[in-house]
Order: sequence, then C-alpha cells, then structure tokens
Amino acid sequence: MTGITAAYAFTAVVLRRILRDRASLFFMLVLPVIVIVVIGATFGGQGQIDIGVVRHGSGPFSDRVAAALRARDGVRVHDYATVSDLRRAARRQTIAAGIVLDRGFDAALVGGRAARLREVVSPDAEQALTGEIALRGIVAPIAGRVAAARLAASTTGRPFGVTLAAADALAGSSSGAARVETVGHAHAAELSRFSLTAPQNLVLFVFITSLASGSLIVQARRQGVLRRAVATRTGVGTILLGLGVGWMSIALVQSAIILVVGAAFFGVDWGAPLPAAVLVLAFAMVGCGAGLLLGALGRDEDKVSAIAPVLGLVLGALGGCMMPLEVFPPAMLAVAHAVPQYWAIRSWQELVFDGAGTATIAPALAVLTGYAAILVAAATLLLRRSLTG
Amino acid sequence: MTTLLVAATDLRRRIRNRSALITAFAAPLALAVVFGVLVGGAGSGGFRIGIVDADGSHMARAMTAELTHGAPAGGTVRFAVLPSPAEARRRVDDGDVDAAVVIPAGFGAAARAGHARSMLVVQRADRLVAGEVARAVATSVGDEIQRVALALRVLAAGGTAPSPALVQAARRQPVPISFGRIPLGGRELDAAAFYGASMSIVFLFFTISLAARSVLAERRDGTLARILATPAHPAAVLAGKTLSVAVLGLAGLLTVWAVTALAFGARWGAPGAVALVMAATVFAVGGLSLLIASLARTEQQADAYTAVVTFSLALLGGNFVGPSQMPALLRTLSLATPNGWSLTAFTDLSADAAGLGSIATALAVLLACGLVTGGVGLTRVYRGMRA
Repeated sequence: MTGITAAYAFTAVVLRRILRDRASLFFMLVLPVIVIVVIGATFGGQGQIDIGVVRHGSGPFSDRVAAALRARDGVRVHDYATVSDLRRAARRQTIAAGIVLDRGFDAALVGGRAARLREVVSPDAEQALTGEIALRGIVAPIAGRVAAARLAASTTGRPFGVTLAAADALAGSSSGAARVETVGHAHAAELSRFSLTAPQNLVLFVFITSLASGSLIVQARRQGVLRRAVATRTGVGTILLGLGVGWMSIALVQSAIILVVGAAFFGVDWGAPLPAAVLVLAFAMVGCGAGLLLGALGRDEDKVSAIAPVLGLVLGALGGCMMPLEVFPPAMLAVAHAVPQYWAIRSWQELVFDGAGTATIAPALAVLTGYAAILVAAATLLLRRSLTG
Repeated sequence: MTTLLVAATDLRRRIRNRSALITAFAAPLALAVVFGVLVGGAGSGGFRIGIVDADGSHMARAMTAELTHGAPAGGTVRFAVLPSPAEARRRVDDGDVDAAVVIPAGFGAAARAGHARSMLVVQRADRLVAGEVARAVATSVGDEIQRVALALRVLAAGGTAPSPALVQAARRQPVPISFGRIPLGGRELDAAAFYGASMSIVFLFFTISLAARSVLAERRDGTLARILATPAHPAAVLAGKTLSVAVLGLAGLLTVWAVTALAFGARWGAPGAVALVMAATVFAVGGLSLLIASLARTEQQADAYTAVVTFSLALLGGNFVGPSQMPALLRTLSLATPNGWSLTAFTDLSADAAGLGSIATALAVLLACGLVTGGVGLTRVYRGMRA
C-alpha cells in the first residue's frame, strides 16, 4: 500500500509539473493539432497539381489545350511569359510540370503534320508523376480527335475541317481516364492522404513527448530528490513506476487528443477500437521506457533536453513518421526495422487501411512490448546502480 | 575588446558544455542527413504493376501484349499479367504487386459505341506512388483504345465500314501530338540542400536564444551582478554573449553545408551568395530570438517562448514541407516569416533560379527583420541587466 502511495506521489508530481509548464502543454496538446492541420491542408483531400503554361502562339488547338487545362479539376494553371521562366519554376518545384504551346503548334496540326508539345518536368518534385499524367490525360483526347479526323480525311477524301467536326461531335465525353479502386479496409475507398499522415504524427509526437521525461529525471537525480526517496525505503521500481505512470498518462492523453482530432475534423478511420487502443498503449510504453532510460543515462538536464527532441525526430524520420515507408530505399527500410516507430507505423497502416484486428498486428505489438520491456529494464538497472551504488 | 573577450569566454563555455553543440551542429546535421538519405533514395525500389485484360477485345489484347513484352528489362516499372480483377485485388492487397491496371469487360465495345467507360486502377491506400504509376499506365492504355475507336466511329459516320485493314491503319497512325521533354536549363532544387538549410534554420532559433537565456541564468546565479560590478560595460557584455551564439549558429549552418555537400553532393548554389544568405539568416533569426527571449523572466520561460515561436514559424515558413508540397496559402503566409524568406533564397540559389533582385530582396528583408527585432530585443535585455 505504501509503495502504491509513493508511486502515486511521483505520478502526481509529474502531472503537476506538466500542467504548470506552458511549453510542455503547447508541445503536447497544441503543436500536434497545428501540425495535423498544416499537413492536412498540404496533403489532405484532393491535392492540387501546379502546371505551368507558356503560350507563344494562338489558334484553335492551342486554345483547346489551354482551356482543357483550366477546366481540369485539381489542376492549378500558372502562366509564364517565357520558357526560361517556366524552367525556373520547375527547378524551384513551384510547378510539377509545364508545357510550351509554340507558334507552330496549330499550323502543324492543321497542316497534317506532327505537332510537338515542349514539356518541362521537375523530376524530383513530389507531384511530378501526377503532373505528367494530368498533362497527358488532358492532351490525349485532343490528339485522339485530330488523329481520327486525319484518318477519315485521308480515307474518304473529305476536308480535315469536316472530319474534325465529326470527330468532335462523336467523341462526346469518352476518354481513357481511370477510375481508382482502393483495396483493403471496407472504407478504404473513402480514405484520403490524411489517413497516412495522421498516424505518422501520432507516433512522432507521442515519442518526442515521452522522451521529455528524461530531463525531469536527470534534474530530480541531480538535485538528490530520487536519492532521498530511496533513502526512505521507497524502491527504485516504485519510483520508476510512479514516474512511468505519470508520463504514460500524458502520452495516452496526447494520443487520445490526436485520435479524436483526426477522426472528428479530418475523417480518419483509425480502425477497430480494441487493437487501436492496445497499439496506443504499447507505443506509449515504448516512449516511456525510452524517456526513463534517457533519464537514467543522462547527467545534465540541459543536454538531455537538447538531445531528446533530436532523437525523437531522427528516430521518427527513420521509422517512417515523415515520409511514407513505401518510398524508402531498400537499405533504409532494413534500418527502419530496428526502430520501434516502424512497427507502430506499420501496425497503424494495417489498422487504418486494412481494417486489421489484434491478431494481425500481434507480431508488431510483441516487438513493441519487447522494446518497452528492454528499455524499462535497462532504466531500472541503471537507476538502481546510480541511486544505491 | 571586452566584447571579444566575453564572446570568447562564452564560446569556450558553450563548447565545453556540449548542449549548445547538439543544438547548433548535431541536430540539424542529423536531420539533414536522414532527410538527404530518405529523399535522395526515395522511390528507388521500382514498381511491379499487375495488368488484367477483362475486356478481351482485339485492341485490349494487343495493348496488354505490348506492355508486358515491350517493358524494358530492369526498368523502373515491371508488368505481370493477372487473370481477373478479383485476383488483381487479392494480389494488390497481399502486396504481391504494387498496384494493378484492369481493362474492364466491355471497355473496347463501349469505346467503339462512343460510350464513356473508365479504366480501373487497383491500389492500396498506403501505396499511393505505385497507384500513380498504375494510373499513368491505365490512362495511356485507355487513351490509345479510345483513339482507335473514335477513328473507326468517324469513318463509320462518313459511310466507311470498319475493316481489319482500317483498324490496323488506325492503330499504326502516328499520334498527332507528341511530348518532347526540354531540359530544366539548370540544376533542380537539391533536396539535401533544402532540408539542410531548413533544419539548420529551425535549430538556429534555439542556439541563438542561448544568449538571452544565459543573461537570465547569470542573474539567477548572482554572477550578473558581479560582472556588472567590473568596469565592463553592460552593452559590451551583452554584445559578447550575442556574438558568441551568432558565431556558433553560423558555424552550424556552414558545417551542415559542408557535410551535405561532401557526403551527399548537395548543391547549395553560388558559394558567395549562400554564405551571404546564411549570415543574413543568422542576423534575422538572432534578432527575433533575442526579442522572444527578452520577454521571459526565467530560463524556463525563455525556453518555452522560444520553442513555441520556433515551431510556429517553422510550420508557417515551410521548414517541414518541401516547396513542391506547399499549398498556395502557405506559400503566401511563409513570406510573413524570416524562415520563409531565407528558404526562398536558399531554394533560388540551389535551383539556379536566383536573380540579383530576388536575393537582394531576401537579404534586405532578413536584415530589416534582424535590425528591428534585434534592436528591440537588445534594448529589453540591456534594460533588464541594468535593473
């Protein structure tokens, strides 16, 4: 009973300190929401593709291409006066792709020759591929009508203008556009890109917050608080339990806020409640274990405060919190397996995208629990040695 | 002289303490390296796309054969023929293929009849890039089938009945509009350089806030009174402390530049201009950090204010998203922050897009920001020291 009371006292201290510390509250409660909003605005829903256009000539076909670009949903057209400006925008990745409607474009098509659209693509831009697809998708129906009209004109001897009018009338709304079907979770078809980024932010922030416990423990050690507590026959395990429960509660509250905000404002379907809850708990335990270990290892709270967010950001990036695991090069994917964030992200993907149950994510949960056990055991060992040695 | 002496002493203490070194060097470098490796190698694995011909029309068969046999060996995209849409869904779900393209039953007939019908792409919600690749393939296959079908319909409308020869003619007819890639005319923005600069700017706020924080610490420990009891002028002491963190911050930026350039071949742009932008960035962030920290009465408050402002400005300034991902609103908002101006200048320099005017404007804005905020900040800290 005394042990529980002592542990509770440590938990209460942790919670009181956090509630008094506005910076911590900002990091735990406000910043994740701001990040979710910014990232949600960046990636969520139907993203806009930026396409650049330079018009050197005018004519019916140039007009068709330009009008089709502007009419296409999800395409934001940027007009440039010169090719040099267009290239500059592509290099800066302000646009994903761009085209030049040259003076000879219309003349070539009317004259029965091949017309060339000069295209500039920013290969490293996030949406380069989407931009190219959009451009081709916009130009292909126009090219299809011209091709049909030319064949008809050459076969029947009728004027190109007449056969083009016939092709326009017959083409209607048919195009080769593709419908996208998403497999996996029953509701997967309705998921937006945001469903990928919300779990990434959850994992990133819970870990960074949990690591912040490290500097508090170092400070308590340095000021002799923990040594005095041990002298009152409070076991090291009890102290760690108290501190751990305090930080676990904070991690869980933070997780709950992100889950609720994600679900309520961005329509994230976090999957089945039970496995989601188990996953949140398992990862919070990993975060707390890491924070306790950092606290046991550190000697100077300033250094630990400086290291903690860096460690959290680097491990987060390596584990897939900042970039989808899908695009990781093979070597980096192998490295990611050694990071607990990877297992948490993978499990969230299975819950969110596949509607998986606890059984499916059980191996990842086992890995996370293993991490938590090792981290807590190492922290206990080190603290026991430093406080009783 | 006093200023330099204070700066040297302060710098020595910070180097010995090491936490400033983490903020100034290790943190931005670690993140720049991680981003450099991730962004540099992104998508290098290639894609395996399944293709299903549920249509079975002559055109669909021909297109499927062209895709599967025409794909270059060792190319980024490899194709695998799958027997049915159901099998495609299963294989995509299992991860055997990254995404699949389905030519739906009746697609060819619908195209011939002039009815709108869509190709189908099967993807996983967490494999969006593979989905994009599949969409590119599906669009091009669908467009090709539509093109031939339209040609035959136009002929039929003119009284010419479709024949195998006409189908062949329509297929072999060159596409009248082709795309010709033109070079970018210079280097594209280097991701390692962008994230190197971006992360350095974020941590620069923390590094420079150490100056005002150190005044607060000296006051707490009682050493400030002793320093001020000496003939050293308070302004010289403050200038020395500020100079030491500015040197540390600039050294951090230069180190990230050197390491990313040497280790990842990151191209930051013309060295002279890059160095100027770095110095102006340190000046602007320095001024702002001093102002923020001058509002605090304790070290904890200084840390809290710095952290809140740093992350808010980093989010608004676009430090966490590349320029290609920035929504229009964020692009505009970013120019209300020194981060945004600095990143714009670094982006221009790395992307061979810098004009004298654009860099001069960015430098002017950064210097003005540093002068105004730093002036107010220094005055506040100075008054605090005198009090």
